[in-house]
Amino acid sequence: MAASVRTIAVIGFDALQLYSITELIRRENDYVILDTLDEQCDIDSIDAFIITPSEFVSRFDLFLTKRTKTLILADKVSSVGMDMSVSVVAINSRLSEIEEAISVLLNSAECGAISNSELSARERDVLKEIASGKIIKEVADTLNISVNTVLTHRKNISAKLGIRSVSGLSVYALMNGIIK
Amino acid sequence: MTLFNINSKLCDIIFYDSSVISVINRFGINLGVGDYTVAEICRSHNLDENFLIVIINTFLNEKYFPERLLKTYSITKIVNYLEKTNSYYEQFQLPNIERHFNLLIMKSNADDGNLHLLKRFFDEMKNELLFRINFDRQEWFPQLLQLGNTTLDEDIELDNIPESAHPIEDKLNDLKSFFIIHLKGKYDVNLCQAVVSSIIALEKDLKQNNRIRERILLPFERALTE
Repeated sequence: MAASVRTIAVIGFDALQLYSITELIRRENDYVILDTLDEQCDIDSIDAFIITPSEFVSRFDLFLTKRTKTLILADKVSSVGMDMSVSVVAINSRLSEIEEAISVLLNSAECGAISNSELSARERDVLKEIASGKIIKEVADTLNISVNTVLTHRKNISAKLGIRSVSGLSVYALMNGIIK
Repeated sequence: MTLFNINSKLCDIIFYDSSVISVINRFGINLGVGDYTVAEICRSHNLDENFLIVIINTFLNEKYFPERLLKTYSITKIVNYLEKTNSYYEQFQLPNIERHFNLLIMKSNADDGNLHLLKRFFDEMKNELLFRINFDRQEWFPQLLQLGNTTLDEDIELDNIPESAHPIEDKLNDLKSFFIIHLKGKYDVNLCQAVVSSIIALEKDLKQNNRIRERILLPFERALTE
């Protein structure tokens, strides 16, 4: 299924960090990347944000009211799961973890645009583990990703399939040969 | 949002949204309502017309919840309504889904086993709902009635009500999604439609009445026991 090019805003980082993040994004897909939000910028056309905590706080009303998919790369993560549309990852996490979080963010931005998307390979991995009866922490350990990332995958899987309960996900996995 | 009043004709309310039939049934009102108003029908059935119209408006409008008004009714009245609602699920809505589901399985020659999986999932949801109904009947409702035939003081602090999880609603939503989005193979379309319609009817009923449980009964219980 062809998707239109998505726009990702990467705001508040220094030049080196910005370069690394945009490289990670470009590895995923062809995105338009904005590194500033000026007055000419149409905020409504932005599909996802990757921002620093200070930018998030200064534009709190924008992110919470628009509920645009947002990833905060913070120096330190004290709590997670504050809002359905916001994920938080420590900037000093392993590169693979940041990559995974960006991948999830971009995937969920696509998910909002294409409601009937197929599950990604990673989402199928997560679904397989959840449908097998593992709790979120066990899934994170098995796949070597953070609990927060598993939760975001879980949220995206539910949004794509329209299935919320764990036993419903297990039935889906059985129906589609993901588990036996 | 359309709100009715006690001078509205009951037939007009049913024409507006036929799902209200299940609500008037549990008050002992059957179809064949003539062109009488809610007030007239309630007089002939010895019902509280104001309570019935509040329940009807709450049921029909997802965005309408007359919390203050509902709190003016005695807890006995609200518990009795929810007990009738539970009985309606138990005696009519669950068996209705089950009957159509069994017929659908019987009349479908699909050998991929999907329908049997979905039926097992339905059975799981049904057992959870029946367990909740039994708990209401044996424990929760008697406890609430023991607290007295009081009304809830409007000034009682109702903040900090925890967000409740809704595992039964989630499963009904999932079941609906399985039929609407993920169903494969050839099935009897009429029976499939009957199953989906009856699932949607139960899902709406549970969702609307859960609001009364969570925003009226739970705060009432907390306020009187803490």
